[in-house]
Amino acid sequence: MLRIADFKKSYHQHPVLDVPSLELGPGIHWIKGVNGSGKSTLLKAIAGIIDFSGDMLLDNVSIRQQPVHYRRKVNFAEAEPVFPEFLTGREMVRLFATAKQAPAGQETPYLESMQMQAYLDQPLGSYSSGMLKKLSLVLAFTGTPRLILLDEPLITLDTASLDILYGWIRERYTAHGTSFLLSSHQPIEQEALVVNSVLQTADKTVKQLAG
Amino acid sequence: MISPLSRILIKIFSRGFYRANAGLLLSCFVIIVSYAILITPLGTMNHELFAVSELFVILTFISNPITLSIIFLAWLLYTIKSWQYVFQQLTIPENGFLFYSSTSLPRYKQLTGWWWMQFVITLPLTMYGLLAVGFGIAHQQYLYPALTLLYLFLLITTSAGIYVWKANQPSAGVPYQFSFSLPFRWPKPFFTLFLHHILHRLKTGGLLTKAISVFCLLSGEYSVANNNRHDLRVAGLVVLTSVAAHLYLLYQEHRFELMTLPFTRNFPYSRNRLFAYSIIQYLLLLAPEIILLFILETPLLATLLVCYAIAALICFRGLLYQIGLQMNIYLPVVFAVYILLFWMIMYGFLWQSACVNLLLGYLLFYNRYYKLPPLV
Repeated sequence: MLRIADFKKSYHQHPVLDVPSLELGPGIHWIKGVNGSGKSTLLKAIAGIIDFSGDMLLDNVSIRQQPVHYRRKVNFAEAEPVFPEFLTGREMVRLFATAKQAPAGQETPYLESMQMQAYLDQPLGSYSSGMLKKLSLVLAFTGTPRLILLDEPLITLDTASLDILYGWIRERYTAHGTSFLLSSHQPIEQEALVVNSVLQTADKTVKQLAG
Repeated sequence: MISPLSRILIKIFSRGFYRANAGLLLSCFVIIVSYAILITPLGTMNHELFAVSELFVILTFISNPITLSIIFLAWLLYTIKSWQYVFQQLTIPENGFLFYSSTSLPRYKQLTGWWWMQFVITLPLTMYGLLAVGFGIAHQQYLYPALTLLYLFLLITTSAGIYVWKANQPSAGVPYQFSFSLPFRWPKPFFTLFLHHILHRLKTGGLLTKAISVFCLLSGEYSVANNNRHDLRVAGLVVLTSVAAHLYLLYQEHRFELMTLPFTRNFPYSRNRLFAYSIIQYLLLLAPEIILLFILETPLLATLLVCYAIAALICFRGLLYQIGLQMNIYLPVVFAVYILLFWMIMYGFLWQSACVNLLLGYLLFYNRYYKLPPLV
């Protein structure tokens, strides 16, 4: 599904991540590592948000050769999302639905299950960090991506919302075959979500551990 | 005599204001000076007339009630911008001590302290105003100089009064929120996000930009009409300067894209499509200027000038993709480009330079869009 080749990323000429080769099959993958080890950098690079040297292929679609097609296949939710504060939640959902060519009404069950309708028409400037986090998760599930990247999805959310999120992931994976790459400091509860493989960022690279 | 309170207020607010708005101030200064020195005399004045005293009259506004009104409006916007800055700084915890120290002074001492602080913030206006007053008096005009001095005094004193009132409010220190909301919500397609950002967060800067830009177009047309000489070069230079007035907004657009919209780089939009969005956005941004051009010029010339303006905007924006948010590098580069474009127009290469601008802007955008540095 995802193939990374000769990946190198530096900030201000300082190398932070070097991944000569990595392959991930379909499934739910957990990437762990201490603060600053490069988890978010890797996810943002896979999402096509930051530049890097090397290549990535998602279902043999290269981010270099077919950047638009590639981006249609991958969605991303940031750890601490920042959105224009003058937009409402509903306007953000529309913006993403248009960009990601989402089926009509796709967002409704997600919004309902997280009970977001009450504040969906308020400007994002009035949202708490938890409300923004829920919105960013809904946006990551918009469209028909092959891979959804969730950066620290477990932080900021309350326990009830976490259970709902686990349910979304299970449903998208089993019903639509969507793969997931989740970064998290804290362990993912195996009874809540079965993880197919575990990756670890350390020593400026990414290692694949036993599942 | 400047009191200790004045010194502290100047140190905190006046210096901070200049640091925060250096780019906008420098842009305005260079645009006004280059406009007055380089453009206004072109095609409308022969060498005999281009005497130093005439130049200073052009530099000032003292003999023309219309430009005087426009400048007064721009000064008011500048003052409102300073209010926004000071109110915002008052909410920072480090400045909280002012609420339990300065407020124990008698009101007139507080007023004096804040008056000097605002006087320092208003120095660019005061210096320009005094220059205008001096040359106005030299040309035996007394009404406009007197009005100018009175207006400046009123602006500073009113501002000081507002600060004193604000600092003594029970709600002082609570984040200032001036929200402007329309009774209905506009649709917000992707390419209009920055325009909404201007309406939401950059109201004063946006109004100042438009005031300078429209002033350039109107007075340029006024000069041309007065001399019955329609010269494409003069029209091109006036439009170029009007575009240069938007440098502040272009910088803010790049900042907005880097800090608030990085998630949109995950959108499956081709770079050609994004480039087309930029053009649509700039057409909307320049709507007042476009309307003015179509009123002032023939439809054909107006269309050509609009194309030139868009190409110049695209070029200046493209430079930001290469340089990034480094104001100290961006400003000298854009002024060098401005002078280069100025001379290209002077030598009659208006359309050639438009094509070069468009191509350069496109290439910089295309090659740099996905390589924008992260803000970490």
